[in-house]
Amino acid sequence: MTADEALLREMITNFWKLIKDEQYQNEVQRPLFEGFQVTHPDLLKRRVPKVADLSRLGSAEYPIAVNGVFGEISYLSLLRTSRGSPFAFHRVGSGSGTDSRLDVYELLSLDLSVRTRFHLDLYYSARTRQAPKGFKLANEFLRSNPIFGTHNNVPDFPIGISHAVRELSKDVYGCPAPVNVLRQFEGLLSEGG
Amino acid sequence: MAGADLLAGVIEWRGPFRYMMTFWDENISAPIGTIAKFLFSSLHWPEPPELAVDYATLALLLAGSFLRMRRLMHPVESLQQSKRSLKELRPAIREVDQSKIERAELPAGDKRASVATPDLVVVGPKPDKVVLGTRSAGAFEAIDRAFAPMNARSFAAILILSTLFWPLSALVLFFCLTRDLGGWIALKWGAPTQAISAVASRALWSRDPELMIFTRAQLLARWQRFMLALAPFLLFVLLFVANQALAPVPPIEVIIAIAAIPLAALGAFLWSIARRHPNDDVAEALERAERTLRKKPYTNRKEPGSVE
Repeated sequence: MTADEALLREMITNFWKLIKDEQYQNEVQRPLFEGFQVTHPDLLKRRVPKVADLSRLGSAEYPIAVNGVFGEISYLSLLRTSRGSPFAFHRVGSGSGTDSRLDVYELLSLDLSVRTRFHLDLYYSARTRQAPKGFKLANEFLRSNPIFGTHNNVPDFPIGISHAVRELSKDVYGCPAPVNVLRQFEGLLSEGG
Repeated sequence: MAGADLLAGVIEWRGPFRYMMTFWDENISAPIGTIAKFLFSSLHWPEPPELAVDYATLALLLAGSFLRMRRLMHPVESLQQSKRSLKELRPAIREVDQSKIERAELPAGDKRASVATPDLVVVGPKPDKVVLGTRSAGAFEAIDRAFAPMNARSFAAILILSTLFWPLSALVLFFCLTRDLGGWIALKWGAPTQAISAVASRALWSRDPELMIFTRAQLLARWQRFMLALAPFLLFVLLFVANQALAPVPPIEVIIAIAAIPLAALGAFLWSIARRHPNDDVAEALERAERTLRKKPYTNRKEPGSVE
Protein backbone atom coordinates (compact mmCIF):
# COMPACT_ATOMS: atom_id res chain seq x y z
CA MET A 1 0.00 0.00 0.00
CA THR A 2 1.44 3.38 -0.97
CA ALA A 3 1.52 6.35 1.39
CA ASP A 4 -1.30 8.01 -0.59
CA GLU A 5 -3.50 4.95 -0.31
CA ALA A 6 -2.84 4.70 3.40
CA LEU A 7 -3.72 8.36 3.85
CA LEU A 8 -6.92 7.96 1.83
CA ARG A 9 -7.90 4.90 3.83
CA GLU A 10 -7.29 6.76 7.08
CA MET A 11 -9.38 9.70 5.88
CA ILE A 12 -12.30 7.47 4.98
CA THR A 13 -12.10 5.55 8.26
CA ASN A 14 -12.00 8.81 10.18
CA PHE A 15 -14.96 10.15 8.20
CA TRP A 16 -17.18 7.18 9.07
CA LYS A 17 -16.09 7.26 12.69
CA LEU A 18 -16.94 10.94 12.86
CA ILE A 19 -20.42 10.30 11.47
CA LYS A 20 -21.28 7.26 13.57
CA ASP A 21 -19.37 7.40 16.85
CA GLU A 22 -20.86 9.80 19.40
CA GLN A 23 -17.88 9.50 21.76
CA TYR A 24 -15.48 10.38 18.98
CA GLN A 25 -17.68 13.27 17.88
CA ASN A 26 -17.54 14.64 21.43
CA GLU A 27 -13.77 14.27 21.55
CA VAL A 28 -13.33 16.17 18.28
CA GLN A 29 -15.68 18.98 19.28
CA ARG A 30 -14.36 19.21 22.83
CA PRO A 31 -12.97 22.77 22.37
CA LEU A 32 -16.42 23.83 21.27
CA PHE A 33 -18.01 22.08 24.24
CA GLU A 34 -15.52 23.66 26.62
CA GLY A 35 -16.57 27.02 25.23
CA PHE A 36 -20.21 26.12 25.98
CA GLN A 37 -19.30 25.15 29.50
CA VAL A 38 -17.97 28.60 30.25
CA THR A 39 -21.25 30.25 29.33
CA HIS A 40 -23.59 27.37 30.24
CA PRO A 41 -21.82 25.38 33.00
CA ASP A 42 -24.61 22.89 33.68
CA LEU A 43 -25.86 22.30 30.17
CA LEU A 44 -23.59 19.42 29.18
CA LYS A 45 -24.41 17.45 32.32
CA ARG A 46 -28.04 17.21 31.29
CA ARG A 47 -29.51 13.84 30.42
CA VAL A 48 -31.27 13.47 27.07
CA PRO A 49 -34.96 13.91 27.93
CA LYS A 50 -37.56 11.35 26.93
CA VAL A 51 -40.40 13.28 25.34
CA ALA A 52 -43.82 11.73 25.93
CA ASP A 53 -45.73 13.71 23.32
CA LEU A 54 -43.77 13.01 20.15
CA SER A 55 -46.01 15.26 18.06
CA ARG A 56 -44.36 18.22 19.84
CA LEU A 57 -40.78 16.97 19.54
CA GLY A 58 -38.83 19.45 17.41
CA SER A 59 -40.82 22.49 18.51
CA ALA A 60 -39.19 25.37 20.43
CA GLU A 61 -40.65 23.96 23.71
CA TYR A 62 -39.41 20.43 23.06
CA PRO A 63 -36.28 20.76 20.94
CA ILE A 64 -34.49 17.67 19.67
CA ALA A 65 -31.50 16.89 21.91
CA VAL A 66 -28.23 16.27 20.07
CA ASN A 67 -24.49 16.36 20.79
CA GLY A 68 -23.13 19.43 19.07
CA VAL A 69 -23.02 20.16 15.35
CA PHE A 70 -21.93 16.61 14.51
CA GLY A 71 -24.93 15.33 16.41
CA GLU A 72 -27.25 17.64 14.47
CA ILE A 73 -25.98 16.44 11.11
CA SER A 74 -25.97 12.76 12.10
CA TYR A 75 -29.49 12.96 13.55
CA LEU A 76 -31.05 14.77 10.61
CA SER A 77 -29.23 12.56 8.10
CA LEU A 78 -30.83 9.53 9.72
CA LEU A 79 -34.31 11.06 9.89
CA ARG A 80 -36.86 9.59 7.46
CA THR A 81 -40.50 10.09 6.61
CA SER A 82 -42.87 7.29 7.53
CA ARG A 83 -42.33 5.92 4.00
CA GLY A 84 -38.55 5.94 4.41
CA SER A 85 -37.64 9.04 2.40
CA PRO A 86 -34.63 10.97 3.74
CA PHE A 87 -34.59 14.77 4.13
CA ALA A 88 -32.42 17.43 2.58
CA PHE A 89 -31.82 20.04 5.29
CA HIS A 90 -30.02 23.28 6.09
CA ARG A 91 -29.87 25.63 9.06
CA VAL A 92 -32.13 28.64 8.71
CA GLY A 93 -30.90 30.30 11.88
CA SER A 94 -30.75 30.17 15.65
CA GLY A 95 -33.58 30.64 18.10
CA SER A 96 -34.12 34.09 19.53
CA GLY A 97 -34.25 35.45 23.11
CA THR A 98 -34.00 32.80 25.82
CA ASP A 99 -33.87 30.09 23.17
CA SER A 100 -30.73 31.45 21.55
CA ARG A 101 -29.01 28.12 22.12
CA LEU A 102 -31.43 26.40 19.76
CA ASP A 103 -30.72 25.87 16.08
CA VAL A 104 -33.58 25.93 13.58
CA TYR A 105 -33.37 23.65 10.58
CA GLU A 106 -35.52 23.52 7.47
CA LEU A 107 -36.16 20.05 6.06
CA LEU A 108 -37.55 18.92 2.73
CA SER A 109 -38.16 15.23 2.11
CA LEU A 110 -36.66 13.88 -1.10
CA ASP A 111 -40.06 12.67 -2.26
CA LEU A 112 -41.32 16.27 -1.80
CA SER A 113 -44.13 15.14 0.49
CA VAL A 114 -42.93 16.94 3.66
CA ARG A 115 -41.43 20.39 4.17
CA THR A 116 -41.01 21.41 7.80
CA ARG A 117 -38.80 23.07 10.42
CA PHE A 118 -37.31 21.61 13.58
CA HIS A 119 -35.61 23.12 16.62
CA LEU A 120 -32.50 21.33 17.80
CA ASP A 121 -30.66 21.75 21.09
CA LEU A 122 -27.00 20.90 20.61
CA TYR A 123 -25.90 21.24 24.23
CA TYR A 124 -25.97 17.54 25.10
CA SER A 125 -23.30 14.89 25.12
CA ALA A 126 -25.53 12.37 23.32
CA ARG A 127 -28.27 12.50 20.70
CA THR A 128 -31.82 11.36 21.27
CA ARG A 129 -33.07 8.09 19.79
CA GLN A 130 -36.62 9.43 19.52
CA ALA A 131 -38.15 10.74 16.29
CA PRO A 132 -41.04 13.21 15.99
CA LYS A 133 -44.48 11.74 15.29
CA GLY A 134 -44.82 10.76 11.63
CA PHE A 135 -41.05 10.37 11.25
CA LYS A 136 -38.63 7.56 11.94
CA LEU A 137 -34.89 7.12 12.38
CA ALA A 138 -32.92 4.87 10.03
CA ASN A 139 -30.60 2.29 11.57
CA GLU A 140 -27.68 3.03 9.32
CA PHE A 141 -26.24 5.78 7.19
CA LEU A 142 -26.59 5.46 3.45
CA ARG A 143 -23.25 4.43 1.93
CA SER A 144 -23.91 6.29 -1.31
CA ASN A 145 -24.97 9.47 0.49
CA PRO A 146 -24.29 9.55 4.23
CA ILE A 147 -24.93 13.28 4.83
CA PHE A 148 -28.10 14.96 3.59
CA GLY A 149 -27.65 18.53 4.77
CA THR A 150 -25.51 21.21 6.27
CA HIS A 151 -25.36 23.37 9.39
CA ASN A 152 -24.86 26.40 7.13
CA ASN A 153 -27.61 28.37 5.48
CA VAL A 154 -28.31 27.60 1.82
CA PRO A 155 -30.09 30.67 0.38
CA ASP A 156 -31.89 28.88 -2.50
CA PHE A 157 -32.51 25.67 -0.55
CA PRO A 158 -32.88 22.95 -1.81
CA ILE A 159 -31.01 24.18 -4.89
CA GLY A 160 -27.30 24.07 -4.07
CA ILE A 161 -27.65 21.58 -1.23
CA SER A 162 -25.42 18.90 -2.79
CA HIS A 163 -22.61 21.41 -3.28
CA ALA A 164 -23.05 22.70 0.28
CA VAL A 165 -22.89 19.16 1.70
CA ARG A 166 -19.80 18.39 -0.36
CA GLU A 167 -18.07 21.49 0.99
CA LEU A 168 -19.17 20.75 4.55
CA SER A 169 -17.84 17.22 4.38
CA LYS A 170 -14.49 18.46 3.07
CA ASP A 171 -14.16 21.26 5.62
CA VAL A 172 -15.59 19.62 8.72
CA TYR A 173 -15.24 15.87 8.15
CA GLY A 174 -11.94 16.07 6.27
CA CYS A 175 -13.11 13.94 3.36
CA PRO A 176 -15.41 14.60 0.39
CA ALA A 177 -18.49 12.51 1.12
CA PRO A 178 -20.48 10.98 -1.75
CA VAL A 179 -23.60 13.02 -2.53
CA ASN A 180 -25.03 10.87 -5.32
CA VAL A 181 -28.62 10.94 -4.08
CA LEU A 182 -28.67 14.69 -3.42
CA ARG A 183 -27.25 15.36 -6.86
CA GLN A 184 -29.92 13.27 -8.45
CA PHE A 185 -32.55 15.01 -6.36
CA GLU A 186 -31.34 18.42 -7.48
CA GLY A 187 -31.20 17.20 -11.06
CA LEU A 188 -34.87 16.21 -10.83
CA LEU A 189 -35.80 19.63 -9.46
CA SER A 190 -33.99 21.51 -12.20
CA GLU A 191 -35.47 19.24 -14.91
CA GLY A 192 -38.97 19.59 -13.50
CA GLY A 193 -38.67 23.28 -12.64
CA MET B 1 -20.63 -58.11 -11.15
CA ALA B 2 -21.72 -54.70 -9.95
CA GLY B 3 -25.16 -55.27 -11.52
CA ALA B 4 -25.44 -58.67 -9.83
CA ASP B 5 -24.39 -57.10 -6.52
CA LEU B 6 -27.08 -54.43 -6.82
CA LEU B 7 -29.71 -57.01 -7.73
CA ALA B 8 -28.66 -59.21 -4.82
CA GLY B 9 -29.01 -56.22 -2.51
CA VAL B 10 -32.50 -55.47 -3.78
CA ILE B 11 -33.53 -59.11 -3.25
CA GLU B 12 -31.89 -59.31 0.19
CA TRP B 13 -33.61 -56.13 1.43
CA ARG B 14 -36.90 -56.96 -0.23
CA GLY B 15 -37.24 -53.99 -2.56
CA PRO B 16 -35.20 -51.06 -3.90
CA PHE B 17 -36.37 -48.58 -1.24
CA ARG B 18 -35.25 -50.62 1.74
CA TYR B 19 -32.01 -51.37 -0.09
CA MET B 20 -31.49 -47.67 -0.67
CA MET B 21 -32.12 -46.96 3.00
CA THR B 22 -29.39 -49.36 4.08
CA PHE B 23 -26.98 -48.76 1.21
CA TRP B 24 -24.94 -46.13 3.04
CA ASP B 25 -24.42 -48.28 6.13
CA GLU B 26 -23.69 -51.48 4.29
CA ASN B 27 -21.62 -50.36 1.35
CA ILE B 28 -20.06 -47.03 2.27
CA SER B 29 -19.96 -46.40 6.01
CA ALA B 30 -18.89 -49.91 6.99
CA PRO B 31 -15.89 -50.30 4.64
CA ILE B 32 -14.66 -46.74 5.16
CA GLY B 33 -15.19 -47.11 8.90
CA THR B 34 -13.01 -50.24 8.85
CA ILE B 35 -10.24 -48.35 7.03
CA ALA B 36 -10.53 -45.41 9.44
CA LYS B 37 -10.41 -47.73 12.47
CA PHE B 38 -7.32 -49.42 11.07
CA LEU B 39 -5.60 -46.11 10.42
CA PHE B 40 -6.49 -44.71 13.84
CA SER B 41 -5.45 -47.85 15.73
CA SER B 42 -2.14 -47.96 13.88
CA LEU B 43 -1.52 -44.43 15.16
CA HIS B 44 -2.72 -45.47 18.66
CA TRP B 45 -5.58 -43.00 18.51
CA PRO B 46 -9.05 -43.71 19.93
CA GLU B 47 -11.66 -45.07 17.55
CA PRO B 48 -13.40 -42.27 15.57
CA PRO B 49 -17.18 -41.94 16.03
CA GLU B 50 -19.30 -43.20 13.14
CA LEU B 51 -20.75 -39.75 12.48
CA ALA B 52 -17.27 -38.25 12.06
CA VAL B 53 -16.36 -40.99 9.58
CA ASP B 54 -19.56 -40.34 7.63
CA TYR B 55 -18.88 -36.63 7.58
CA ALA B 56 -15.31 -37.17 6.33
CA THR B 57 -16.64 -39.56 3.69
CA LEU B 58 -19.08 -36.94 2.41
CA ALA B 59 -16.26 -34.38 2.32
CA LEU B 60 -14.13 -36.82 0.33
CA LEU B 61 -16.98 -37.39 -2.11
CA LEU B 62 -17.51 -33.65 -2.52
CA ALA B 63 -13.81 -33.11 -3.21
CA GLY B 64 -14.02 -35.99 -5.69
CA SER B 65 -16.88 -34.29 -7.49
CA PHE B 66 -14.77 -31.16 -7.84
CA LEU B 67 -12.06 -33.29 -9.40
CA ARG B 68 -14.61 -34.76 -11.76
CA MET B 69 -15.78 -31.28 -12.67
CA ARG B 70 -12.25 -30.31 -13.62
CA ARG B 71 -11.83 -33.38 -15.75
CA LEU B 72 -15.13 -32.73 -17.49
CA MET B 73 -14.39 -29.09 -18.20
CA HIS B 74 -10.69 -28.73 -18.61
CA PRO B 75 -9.67 -30.75 -21.63
CA VAL B 76 -12.61 -29.52 -23.66
CA GLU B 77 -11.85 -27.03 -26.36
CA SER B 78 -14.82 -24.92 -25.27
CA LEU B 79 -12.95 -23.60 -22.26
CA GLN B 80 -10.22 -22.18 -24.44
CA GLN B 81 -12.86 -20.81 -26.78
CA SER B 82 -14.70 -19.28 -23.86
CA LYS B 83 -11.47 -17.62 -22.74
CA ARG B 84 -11.04 -16.23 -26.23
CA SER B 85 -14.55 -14.84 -26.34
CA LEU B 86 -14.00 -13.34 -22.91
CA LYS B 87 -10.92 -11.60 -24.27
CA GLU B 88 -12.89 -10.29 -27.22
CA LEU B 89 -15.69 -9.06 -24.99
CA ARG B 90 -13.44 -7.13 -22.63
CA PRO B 91 -12.40 -4.28 -24.97
CA ALA B 92 -16.01 -3.96 -26.09
CA ILE B 93 -17.10 -3.58 -22.47
CA ARG B 94 -14.45 -0.92 -21.98
CA GLU B 95 -15.68 0.96 -25.05
CA VAL B 96 -19.10 1.46 -23.53
CA ASP B 97 -19.83 5.05 -22.66
CA GLN B 98 -18.89 5.43 -19.00
CA SER B 99 -21.42 8.19 -18.43
CA LYS B 100 -24.19 5.80 -19.42
CA ILE B 101 -22.92 3.29 -16.88
CA GLU B 102 -22.88 5.90 -14.15
CA ARG B 103 -26.41 6.86 -15.07
CA ALA B 104 -27.49 3.26 -14.96
CA GLU B 105 -25.94 2.88 -11.54
CA LEU B 106 -28.01 5.68 -10.10
CA PRO B 107 -30.29 4.84 -8.52
CA ALA B 108 -30.33 1.35 -9.98
CA GLY B 109 -26.77 0.89 -8.74
CA ASP B 110 -27.97 1.61 -5.25
CA LYS B 111 -30.79 -0.86 -5.42
CA ARG B 112 -30.15 -4.51 -5.07
CA ALA B 113 -32.38 -4.78 -8.11
CA SER B 114 -31.89 -8.21 -9.49
CA VAL B 115 -29.22 -10.39 -8.07
CA ALA B 116 -29.06 -13.77 -9.64
CA THR B 117 -26.73 -16.72 -9.35
CA PRO B 118 -24.23 -16.09 -12.12
CA ASP B 119 -24.25 -19.61 -13.47
CA LEU B 120 -28.02 -19.76 -13.52
CA VAL B 121 -28.65 -16.55 -15.37
CA VAL B 122 -27.07 -17.79 -18.57
CA VAL B 123 -30.24 -19.74 -19.27
CA GLY B 124 -32.17 -16.47 -19.14
CA PRO B 125 -33.26 -15.02 -22.45
CA LYS B 126 -31.93 -11.50 -21.94
CA PRO B 127 -28.60 -10.60 -23.55
CA ASP B 128 -27.41 -8.62 -20.55
CA LYS B 129 -27.29 -11.86 -18.58
CA VAL B 130 -24.66 -13.13 -20.98
CA VAL B 131 -22.27 -10.38 -19.98
CA LEU B 132 -23.06 -11.02 -16.34
CA GLY B 133 -22.34 -14.71 -16.90
CA THR B 134 -19.17 -13.92 -18.79
CA ARG B 135 -17.94 -11.74 -15.99
CA SER B 136 -18.58 -14.52 -13.52
CA ALA B 137 -16.82 -16.89 -15.93
CA GLY B 138 -13.82 -14.59 -15.55
CA ALA B 139 -13.87 -15.19 -11.81
CA PHE B 140 -14.22 -18.90 -12.47
CA GLU B 141 -11.15 -18.84 -14.71
CA ALA B 142 -9.17 -17.20 -11.92
CA ILE B 143 -10.12 -19.99 -9.50
CA ASP B 144 -9.39 -22.51 -12.20
CA ARG B 145 -5.90 -21.10 -12.69
CA ALA B 146 -5.23 -21.26 -8.94
CA PHE B 147 -5.87 -25.01 -9.01
CA ALA B 148 -4.37 -25.50 -12.47
CA PRO B 149 -1.75 -28.10 -11.57
CA MET B 150 -4.10 -30.71 -10.13
CA ASN B 151 -1.52 -32.27 -7.85
CA ALA B 152 -1.69 -33.65 -4.34
CA ARG B 153 -1.42 -30.21 -2.81
CA SER B 154 -4.36 -28.68 -4.66
CA PHE B 155 -6.45 -31.80 -4.02
CA ALA B 156 -5.62 -31.52 -0.33
CA ALA B 157 -6.75 -27.88 -0.43
CA ILE B 158 -10.05 -28.87 -2.01
CA LEU B 159 -10.46 -31.68 0.52
CA ILE B 160 -9.85 -29.31 3.44
CA LEU B 161 -12.36 -26.80 2.02
CA SER B 162 -14.92 -29.59 1.58
CA THR B 163 -14.32 -30.78 5.15
CA LEU B 164 -14.79 -27.23 6.38
CA PHE B 165 -18.20 -27.05 4.71
CA TRP B 166 -20.11 -27.27 7.99
CA PRO B 167 -18.07 -24.66 9.96
CA LEU B 168 -18.08 -22.42 6.89
CA SER B 169 -21.88 -22.68 6.80
CA ALA B 170 -21.96 -21.70 10.46
CA LEU B 171 -19.76 -18.69 9.68
CA VAL B 172 -22.00 -17.66 6.77
CA LEU B 173 -25.02 -17.95 9.05
CA PHE B 174 -23.31 -15.83 11.70
CA PHE B 175 -22.30 -13.06 9.29
CA CYS B 176 -25.69 -13.06 7.53
CA LEU B 177 -27.46 -12.54 10.85
CA THR B 178 -25.03 -10.04 12.38
CA ARG B 179 -23.44 -8.22 9.44
CA ASP B 180 -25.92 -8.59 6.54
CA LEU B 181 -23.43 -10.58 4.45
CA GLY B 182 -25.92 -11.20 1.62
CA GLY B 183 -26.80 -7.53 1.40
CA TRP B 184 -23.14 -6.59 1.34
CA ILE B 185 -22.40 -9.00 -1.50
CA ALA B 186 -25.49 -7.85 -3.38
CA LEU B 187 -24.51 -4.19 -3.10
CA LYS B 188 -20.79 -4.59 -3.69
CA TRP B 189 -20.95 -7.16 -6.43
CA GLY B 190 -24.48 -7.72 -7.66
CA ALA B 191 -25.80 -4.25 -8.33
CA PRO B 192 -22.72 -2.72 -10.03
CA THR B 193 -22.22 -5.85 -12.13
CA GLN B 194 -25.85 -5.77 -13.14
CA ALA B 195 -25.67 -2.08 -14.03
CA ILE B 196 -22.52 -2.43 -16.10
CA SER B 197 -23.68 -5.57 -17.83
CA ALA B 198 -27.05 -4.08 -18.71
CA VAL B 199 -25.40 -1.20 -20.55
CA ALA B 200 -22.50 -3.14 -22.01
CA SER B 201 -24.57 -5.99 -23.36
CA ARG B 202 -26.90 -3.69 -25.27
CA ALA B 203 -23.88 -2.37 -27.14
CA LEU B 204 -22.40 -5.84 -27.62
CA TRP B 205 -25.60 -7.44 -28.76
CA SER B 206 -25.99 -4.98 -31.63
CA ARG B 207 -22.29 -5.18 -32.45
CA ASP B 208 -21.63 -8.90 -32.51
CA PRO B 209 -24.73 -11.05 -31.98
CA GLU B 210 -22.99 -14.24 -33.10
CA LEU B 211 -20.35 -13.90 -30.42
CA MET B 212 -23.07 -13.30 -27.84
CA ILE B 213 -24.98 -16.41 -28.89
CA PHE B 214 -21.80 -18.46 -28.86
CA THR B 215 -20.76 -17.24 -25.42
CA ARG B 216 -24.21 -17.96 -24.09
CA ALA B 217 -24.04 -21.51 -25.41
CA GLN B 218 -20.61 -21.99 -23.85
CA LEU B 219 -21.80 -20.82 -20.46
CA LEU B 220 -24.84 -23.06 -20.65
CA ALA B 221 -22.59 -26.03 -21.46
CA ARG B 222 -20.42 -25.18 -18.49
CA TRP B 223 -23.42 -25.13 -16.17
CA GLN B 224 -24.59 -28.49 -17.50
CA ARG B 225 -21.17 -30.03 -16.92
CA PHE B 226 -21.06 -28.60 -13.42
CA MET B 227 -24.35 -30.31 -12.60
CA LEU B 228 -23.17 -33.52 -14.23
CA ALA B 229 -20.09 -33.54 -12.02
CA LEU B 230 -22.06 -32.78 -8.88
CA ALA B 231 -24.90 -35.25 -9.49
CA PRO B 232 -23.16 -38.35 -8.04
CA PHE B 233 -22.33 -36.46 -4.88
CA LEU B 234 -25.95 -35.36 -4.50
CA LEU B 235 -26.97 -39.00 -4.94
CA PHE B 236 -24.63 -40.01 -2.10
CA VAL B 237 -26.07 -37.26 0.10
CA LEU B 238 -29.53 -38.66 -0.62
CA LEU B 239 -28.36 -42.14 0.35
CA PHE B 240 -26.80 -40.78 3.54
CA VAL B 241 -29.95 -38.91 4.54
CA ALA B 242 -32.18 -41.89 3.71
CA ASN B 243 -29.98 -44.11 5.84
CA GLN B 244 -29.87 -41.72 8.79
CA ALA B 245 -33.64 -41.33 8.75
CA LEU B 246 -34.02 -44.99 9.68
CA ALA B 247 -31.00 -45.58 11.86
CA PRO B 248 -31.64 -45.49 15.61
CA VAL B 249 -28.06 -44.29 16.22
CA PRO B 250 -27.07 -41.50 15.70
CA PRO B 251 -30.36 -39.85 16.65
CA ILE B 252 -32.23 -37.85 14.09
CA GLU B 253 -31.62 -34.68 16.12
CA VAL B 254 -27.91 -34.91 15.32
CA ILE B 255 -28.64 -35.16 11.62
CA ILE B 256 -31.10 -32.28 11.82
CA ALA B 257 -28.47 -30.22 13.62
CA ILE B 258 -25.92 -31.01 10.92
CA ALA B 259 -28.34 -30.28 8.09
CA ALA B 260 -29.97 -27.36 9.92
CA ILE B 261 -26.86 -25.19 9.97
CA PRO B 262 -26.18 -25.27 6.20
CA LEU B 263 -29.90 -24.93 5.45
CA ALA B 264 -30.27 -22.04 7.90
CA ALA B 265 -27.16 -20.44 6.39
CA LEU B 266 -28.67 -20.72 2.93
CA GLY B 267 -31.97 -19.29 4.20
CA ALA B 268 -30.29 -16.42 6.05
CA PHE B 269 -28.17 -15.66 2.99
CA LEU B 270 -31.20 -15.50 0.69
CA TRP B 271 -33.12 -13.51 3.28
CA SER B 272 -30.33 -10.95 3.69
CA ILE B 273 -30.24 -10.50 -0.09
CA ALA B 274 -33.99 -10.25 -0.48
CA ARG B 275 -34.92 -8.14 2.53
CA ARG B 276 -35.76 -4.52 1.97
CA HIS B 277 -32.78 -2.23 2.10
CA PRO B 278 -32.70 1.50 3.02
CA ASN B 279 -31.42 2.20 -0.50
CA ASP B 280 -34.72 0.92 -1.88
CA ASP B 281 -36.55 3.56 0.18
CA VAL B 282 -34.38 6.31 -1.27
CA ALA B 283 -34.80 5.11 -4.83
CA GLU B 284 -38.58 5.02 -4.33
CA ALA B 285 -38.58 8.50 -2.76
CA LEU B 286 -36.84 9.86 -5.85
CA GLU B 287 -39.31 8.07 -8.10
CA ARG B 288 -42.21 9.63 -6.15
CA ALA B 289 -40.56 13.05 -6.48
CA GLU B 290 -40.24 12.51 -10.22
CA ARG B 291 -43.93 11.63 -10.51
CA THR B 292 -44.89 14.70 -8.46
CA LEU B 293 -42.73 16.95 -10.61
CA ARG B 294 -44.23 15.54 -13.79
CA LYS B 295 -47.65 16.69 -12.58
CA LYS B 296 -46.46 20.02 -11.25
CA PRO B 297 -43.06 21.64 -11.93
CA TYR B 298 -41.06 22.57 -8.86
CA THR B 299 -41.23 26.10 -7.50
CA ASN B 300 -39.21 26.96 -4.46
CA ARG B 301 -42.21 27.35 -2.19
CA LYS B 302 -41.26 28.23 1.37
CA GLU B 303 -44.46 27.54 3.25
CA PRO B 304 -44.12 24.56 5.58
CA GLY B 305 -45.97 21.47 4.43
CA SER B 306 -47.69 18.93 6.59
CA VAL B 307 -46.49 15.55 7.63
CA GLU B 308 -48.11 12.89 5.52
